[in-house]
This record gives sequence, C-alpha cells and structure tokens, in this order.
Amino acid sequence: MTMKGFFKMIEISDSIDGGAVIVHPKGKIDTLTAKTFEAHLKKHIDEGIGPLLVDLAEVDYVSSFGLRSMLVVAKLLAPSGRKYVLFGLSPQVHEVLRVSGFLRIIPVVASRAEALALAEAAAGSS
Amino acid sequence: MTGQFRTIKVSNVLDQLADVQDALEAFVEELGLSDDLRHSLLLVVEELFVNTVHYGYDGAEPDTIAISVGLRKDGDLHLTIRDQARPFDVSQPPRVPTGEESLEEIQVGGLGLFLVHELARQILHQRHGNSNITEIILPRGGAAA
Repeated sequence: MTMKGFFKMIEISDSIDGGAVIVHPKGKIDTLTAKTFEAHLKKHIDEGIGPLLVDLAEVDYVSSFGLRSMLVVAKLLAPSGRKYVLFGLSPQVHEVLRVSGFLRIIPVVASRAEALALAEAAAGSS
Repeated sequence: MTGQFRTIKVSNVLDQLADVQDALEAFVEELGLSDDLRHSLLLVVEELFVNTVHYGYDGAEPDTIAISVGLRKDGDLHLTIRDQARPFDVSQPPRVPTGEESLEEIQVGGLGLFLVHELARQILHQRHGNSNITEIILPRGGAAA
C-alpha cells in the first residue's frame, strides 16, 4: 500500500467542461505528493489557454506543502489573467486554507457549477 | 501497542512520512476520531517531522524519531515527538502572516510551523541530553478555537 521512494503516488484525473480544464486529484496533497500535483497543473498551464479548475472533493488532507503548490500555480497563472478556481473542499481542507490566509489569494467556491460560473464570468469580462 | 496510545518509530528520512501517516490513519480509525482531529493530527505530525528531517541534521546523520500519540480522557490528543536532531524549540511562535503580503512576499517556508501553532492548544519543548522532546495538545474539536 505504501509507495517507497521520495514521491508517493497521487491519483489525478482530468475532465473538460466548455473551455475549462477540471483537475481531480484524489487522496493527500502533502510533502510526498505536492510536487506531482504541482507538475500536473503546470502541464495544463503550459499547454492550455482556458480556465483551470481544481476539484478537491476527493482530497481528504492538505499540508503546507500542498498549500504551497496551490499558491505556486496561482502565481504562475496571475500574469495571464487565466481563471483559477478551487471547489469541493472538505471543511478541514477549507479551514487550512482559511487559517493560512489563502482564501484571500485563491478563489474558492463550494460547487463545480459555481466554479464554472466564476470562470465564465471572468472569461466574458476580459 | 494498541488501545488509546500509540508509538511510531521511524528513521529520519522523508519517505518514512508515508509509514507515519498509515500508522496515524489506523489509530484514528480504531478510535473513531473526528475528521477535524484526524486532519489536525496528520498535519501537525507532518509539519514537525518534515521540519526536523529537513533542518535538524548535518548530512546523512542517522536517527530514530519517535512519535507517540494518546487520547486523553477529555478527548484531546497528547502528542509527543522525540528526536536527536540539533536543538530546535518549536514552541517559539513563528512569524504570523498579515494577509497583506503579495504572492511574492509570502514566506511559504514558515507556513508549516505557523499552522502547527494555529492548530495546537499547547506546545512544550524540552531538551534532555541530546534529545528534543516536543509535547503538543491537540484540542478535540480540531482547530484550536
């Protein structure tokens, strides 16, 4: 069950909705998995042009390394104006983002529908 | 050892975190702890373990880190971490983010210890000989409210 080696596996799948890419990580985003998560999002930043949404419904744990990866992605996307929205956070993951002050930096909404609406509104206004 | 107390001993290498997490998850499941307490426990242990492994040693100095967690009668968790790394007093408060920094200014490195202080009700550090002994109380409600 436990993967040996520096990087532990994290399952990540993607889906497309309209012009938006939705990334669905599953499990823990922590010291062992954050780099894989970050690399996955960076690939979408390099290859895509539309909004990037992250569905955290199946993420049951985020540590400071996971937060850091989320912030790195926000920082990379900021100059392009491409929308970046997190949704589906558990109360515990939401609390860690709140305590860290990240809710002021990264848009977070409850549902996929809200995330898509926010992304479309941003696309329409630019 | 089973019951309401568990000790996990691991070496001071980063990938041992996976074993630590598996043992903590088993403890949480056996005791039926809340999601809030589970998240706080995993987070505090990870931040302190990773901090010690990253900064506590000169080169490839081998060490055993012992992590003990017990459920107290009042429902709080009592966590004790013992290592032989260089002296490091976790109980000293880290810099508090003001929320007004730009993305570039945020000191991400200090975030882990900041979170530990936010989640813990009490943090005590003692140096015994060449050992750091860090004791932490995690409130039953999860985040220290």
